[in-house]
Amino acid sequence: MPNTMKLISSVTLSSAQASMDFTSIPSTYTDLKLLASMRVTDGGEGTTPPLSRCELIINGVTTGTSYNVNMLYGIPGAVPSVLAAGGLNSSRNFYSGSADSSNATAGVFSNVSYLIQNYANSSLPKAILIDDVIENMAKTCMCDIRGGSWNSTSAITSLSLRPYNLGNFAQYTTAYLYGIVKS
Amino acid sequence: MTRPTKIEVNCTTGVQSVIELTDEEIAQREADAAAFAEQKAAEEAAAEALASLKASARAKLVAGQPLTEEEAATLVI
Amino acid sequence: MPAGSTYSTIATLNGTGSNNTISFTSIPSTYTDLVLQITPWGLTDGIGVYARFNNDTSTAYSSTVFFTNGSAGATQRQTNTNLVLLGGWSIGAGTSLPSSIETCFNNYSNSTTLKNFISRYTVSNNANSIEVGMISGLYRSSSAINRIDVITGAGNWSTNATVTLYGITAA
Repeated sequence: MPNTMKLISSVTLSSAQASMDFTSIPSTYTDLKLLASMRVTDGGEGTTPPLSRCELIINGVTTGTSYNVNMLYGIPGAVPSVLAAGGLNSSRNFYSGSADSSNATAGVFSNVSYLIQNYANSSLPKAILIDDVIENMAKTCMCDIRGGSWNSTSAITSLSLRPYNLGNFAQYTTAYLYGIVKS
Repeated sequence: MTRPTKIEVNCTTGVQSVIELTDEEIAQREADAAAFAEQKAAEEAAAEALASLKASARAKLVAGQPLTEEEAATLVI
Repeated sequence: MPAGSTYSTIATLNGTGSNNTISFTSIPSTYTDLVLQITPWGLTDGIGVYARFNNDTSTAYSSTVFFTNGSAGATQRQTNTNLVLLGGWSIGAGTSLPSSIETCFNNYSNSTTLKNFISRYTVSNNANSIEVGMISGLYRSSSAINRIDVITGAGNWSTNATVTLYGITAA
């Protein structure tokens, strides 16, 4: 029986790194699913919640009107909120997932799932669906759902995850890239 | 000073490499950080402006005063 | 460790441009859970993608939608309907921007409990609006699900649209 959901590659950090890059992604699957558990070594964006935004860079592209994203997020005690601005036709994918920062309770990592359908298609842009949770035990946490697109028709051959603000991913951060084949 | 490094995995061969960032990559990170900070400042300013409008709209409602179009838009979707 | 694959493709179907329904029939009961992956294209604004189970056209469906289309978060509730929403509430899938729906049906083949699902979706349209949301859906029947019709709210499935049904085996 064929292996429909297959691990392509994985990364587990044994020390702090500036980014996690998946290159030369085979075109033989239908969809990609990237599962990440992330924490950064710096204080990120504060304490409410204690996170650092992460960027998902596709094919090394950081220019043009390459990315769309919108997000719906919730923080305890606040009404659900949406992305304020900057998510449409952007050259950067700033809102693509979060990592727990050093302000979060020790040992807590974020939980992020990325789904990219039809990633290897070379004639259509690609939709991206993201689930994201910043847990923090006793302190403020956040959960959100994000959606959008990579507006290029090029097949996706590389994915790079990086913290957005000169930060590094902490030791024990992981990322697992799976390929899903529909037939 | 230790250079920052990134981890790269070639998904075709499975080879993982820890690679020092080049001068250009380090400069790009610093430029990116400046751009991110600018965007974040713009977001915070927008959020603050919205909060101000909402507070003003609420106060006017309580006082029975007319709202501006901008203030009304924060209360009525 | 399971002997075979735990995540298997049951079937994949494409839109033809002239059909509004994509049907998965005679779904085997041998899996534990089902996952439906949909890439819709070119659907009409505000219409969305729906499902019907076991060809049951009674008003046995309900759903709660939690979503944003960019201006604010919102919720919607539909009850006693004869179709249930899988994705896309306020905007339609554009002809040049991609959208994505993933729906999970856990424990679909038992004949004891009512059937529910969780769906997550993002819909982009040519006005550069992006809707993102999640849906909790209920089919008020204890019958095992053996058929899923995936239906556009209006118009036909584009030839670029694909719908794939996967089965997950626990052991």
